[in-house]
Amino acid sequence: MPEPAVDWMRVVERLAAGDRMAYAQFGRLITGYLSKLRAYDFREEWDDLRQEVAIAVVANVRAGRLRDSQALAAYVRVITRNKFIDRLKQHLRCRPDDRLPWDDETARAMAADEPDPRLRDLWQAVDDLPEEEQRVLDQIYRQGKTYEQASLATGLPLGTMKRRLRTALMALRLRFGDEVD
Amino acid sequence: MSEAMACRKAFDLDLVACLLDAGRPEWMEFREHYPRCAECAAEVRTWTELQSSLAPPHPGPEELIRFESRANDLPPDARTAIGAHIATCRSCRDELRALRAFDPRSMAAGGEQAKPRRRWWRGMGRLVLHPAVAYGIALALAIPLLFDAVGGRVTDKMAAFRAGGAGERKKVKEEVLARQSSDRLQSAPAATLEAKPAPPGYEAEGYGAPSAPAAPPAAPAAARPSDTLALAKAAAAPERRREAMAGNQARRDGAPDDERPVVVLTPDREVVLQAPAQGLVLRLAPPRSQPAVPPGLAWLRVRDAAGRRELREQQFGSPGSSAEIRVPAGWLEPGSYRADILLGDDARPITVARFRIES
Repeated sequence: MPEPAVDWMRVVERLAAGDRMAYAQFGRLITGYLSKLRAYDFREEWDDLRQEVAIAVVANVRAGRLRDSQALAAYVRVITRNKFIDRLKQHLRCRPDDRLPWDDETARAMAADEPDPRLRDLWQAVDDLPEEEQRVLDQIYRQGKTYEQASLATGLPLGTMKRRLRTALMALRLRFGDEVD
Repeated sequence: MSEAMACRKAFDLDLVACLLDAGRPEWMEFREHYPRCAECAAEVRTWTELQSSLAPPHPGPEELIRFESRANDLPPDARTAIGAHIATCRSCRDELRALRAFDPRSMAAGGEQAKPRRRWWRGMGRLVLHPAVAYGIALALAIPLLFDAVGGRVTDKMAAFRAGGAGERKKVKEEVLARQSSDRLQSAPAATLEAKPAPPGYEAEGYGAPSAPAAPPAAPAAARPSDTLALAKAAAAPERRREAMAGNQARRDGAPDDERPVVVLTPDREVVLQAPAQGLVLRLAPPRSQPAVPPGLAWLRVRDAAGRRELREQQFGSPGSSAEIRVPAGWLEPGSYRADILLGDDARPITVARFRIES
């Protein structure tokens, strides 16, 4: 999601000036992180969190604390995760000082801006799977269809289609297990 | 083996289906469970990475804006594809919703609000509410009375102090300090009541001066027993303030901190220290899980257990290096303290360590 070539300082300057496109670009950076954190498991909307992050970033840029694009992206990553974890702890009725296992996992997930380059070969590996499994993966992940829609499109009964999907993903995980873990 | 280690929930349910659409009510129980369970959290992360690598690319911000504001300008195929993607992608739905609600003025206003802006009266509100103000007022009333009792002695000594050489200064200082400690519970010598401005650097950043050097209280010749603690603290306060100022001055002058012991704090254990005579340098490393923080954005903060007194120091070290703060000896009363690293305006520390000062 986040593109390394983006000049985030320029985007934030435009955002501070009220530029709608800059808001869309900056929003993409934040939702990319929220997706990695699986934040959407806990709330459908994160408008307030996004707003808080955006305001904090604008304020820090104005105060001269953030001066380069990479530092800015790193700061957005840190602050988005921190604010999300705070809210998650409230949601789960944990104390702020409690350490959640998911906190550690999000740290691992957020450690790199870019996904593991070896995972880019994942769709190539799909070509090695049985054709029926390839079709199911294509319907679900490439075309974004629901289980029911994919079942209709492939002609597979729902239960069978789910088994094919699980088998296919297990095969991919085994193949890329070391990289993913 | 703990229950969390033995957990099989992530293996027993259809995790693939769950992670594809975790918002559905049937996954509610697992949603509440996996953040607390090490086994399930690890499984969820692994499968999430795998699934996100398979997921189709999201429409770009430009396409999203066009879809939102001028959908009819898009080619029908593109319009249908973006619409279908948004229907199944929660993050894109979220972006679209935020885009529709975006008010350009809010960002400009919000940024301005978040920007620290010092007004001379802002500190006054906090000051007026502070108990130290009461002490200060009482002190102002008590100075004329006190001056007759002890001021003469001290001013004579201070005059000698100013006029004399280094040896004389040392002697006078020792004498005054010795008398301070013996007189502390009965009366506060005028030398300790000398008004000093708060050390610069703290208020300017909008965080308030270190609160230990509270304004000294009035010191009647015969204090009531209930006042003794306050008096003792107050008598020591200017001394602490001078040390804090000396520390700041030394830093401004580029004086080395060699004589201060360096204490490396770690989040996993509480460090116990004897009250240091020269103050100390506290060092705390950022967590490995955090990306390198740009210089100037991180602050190392030290607070007492009650959260009433705190010191902060902005960090300008290279990204990833340990944060450091110089703490004057007078500030460190026996008790428990917490040190943490804060980023920018974010109130949540990225790491926390604890230490205790023993008398």
